Amino acid sequence: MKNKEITKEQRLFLELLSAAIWNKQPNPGLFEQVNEKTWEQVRLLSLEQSVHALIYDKALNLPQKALPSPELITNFLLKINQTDLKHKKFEETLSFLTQKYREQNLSFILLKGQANALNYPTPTLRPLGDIDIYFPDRKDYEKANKWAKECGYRIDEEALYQQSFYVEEVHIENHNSIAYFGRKKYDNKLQRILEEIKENNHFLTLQITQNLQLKTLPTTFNAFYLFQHILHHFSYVGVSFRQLCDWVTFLSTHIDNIDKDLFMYYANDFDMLHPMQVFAALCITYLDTDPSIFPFTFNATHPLVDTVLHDIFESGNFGKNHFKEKEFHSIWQRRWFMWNKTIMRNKKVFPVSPHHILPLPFVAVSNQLKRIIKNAD
Amino acid sequence: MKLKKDLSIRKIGDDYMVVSNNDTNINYTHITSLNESAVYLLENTEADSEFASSDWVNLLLERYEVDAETAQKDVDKMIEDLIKAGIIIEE
Repeated sequence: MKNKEITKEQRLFLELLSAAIWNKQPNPGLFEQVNEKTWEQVRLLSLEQSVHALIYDKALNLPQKALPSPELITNFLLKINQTDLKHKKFEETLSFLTQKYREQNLSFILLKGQANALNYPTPTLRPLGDIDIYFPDRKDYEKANKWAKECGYRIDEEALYQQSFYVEEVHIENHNSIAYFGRKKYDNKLQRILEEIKENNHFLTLQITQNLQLKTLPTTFNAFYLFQHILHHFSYVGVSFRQLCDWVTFLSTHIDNIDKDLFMYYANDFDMLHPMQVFAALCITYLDTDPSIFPFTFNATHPLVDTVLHDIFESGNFGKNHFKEKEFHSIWQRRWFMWNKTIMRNKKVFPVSPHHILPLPFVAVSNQLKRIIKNAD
Repeated sequence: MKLKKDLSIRKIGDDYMVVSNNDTNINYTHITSLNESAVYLLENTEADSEFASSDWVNLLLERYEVDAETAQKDVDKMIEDLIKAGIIIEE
């Protein structure tokens, strides 16, 4: 089956996104005589893919004759400003949480989000979703959750491996596991690696702001983990360009500090080399990525690249496009819809990573059963 | 009067825009377009510090070939517009 072509708005979106993550100017010729309807589609794609401030900033750098309408310019400026303010709010909240967790002697690691933003040319343009905190020690995880409850924060139902809550509208996720495969052979390996990192104290210290230093995952493992995060969401309901940008900007920033042999060991041990090669080829083809940033070898073209590209555009950030205009009367109805969606997508995307995607319908059912048992306790 | 803190001036195409916030509340963001002389004055005025209209008149006289009366009229109009836009705060 021949893959469908990318649309004009998708091409413009990719041009602006590549320019944003690699700190270069977009080709202005592509944007001259772009009509308002096409610009509006670019705006919507940017929101769906959760890279809006990155895209809008580059759009506003175009020469006069390539700019969008005055209304869109105002809209773009407002969104850029909102993203910047959100970063300030998140920094304040992270400092507050750090202080509170340290007062209780809790050991914790910052994952993804704000740490990833530091690898972008302008960190404050990378839209933020939530604050992800990982507690290597389960007791610390439980203490942190107990503290959040005692403070009276709005708390979500506890998931299998995480508890989320809100501090002044900032969404916090406390994790007691950084990832979950639902397959013993992978979960046990992951646990062993994390134990090893913990025992050897291999966590890195990262300067988040002028006054805030936090621990994060070691570089080589983080390069692997960021891709695991992409594959996890891609396998279930979909992933967005933001996650891809996080991965390639991380690799580009840290490639000299990545132990390539160790990275390959992780990639092979978790059966992830093939999906990594597909996504890397996609980034080279559509995000103007330098092939030398990837710590593995691969062909710059791959027959599955366009399948993945179109799935990313269809799915939106964490698959949210699939849920647009859907109303669910209960959490079970929503879960049933998600399960069906996973099965339907499975048929299309499983060749990207058969080891991880084919067993998903069973893993999802098993997770539901575990959740029921947990909540019954 | 004082110039508001955390103003962000940006050149977009041939125009200048200034974005002003009310602390971290995104509901109080204002966007105002500026001409080149207004940008020059804002960039040469310290935020959150007292200044008088005569300071701005002097700045205009230093940079542009303009007489004092015209400069004063321009500054008065600019200050009036920037107060309305929330960029200048009257004490």
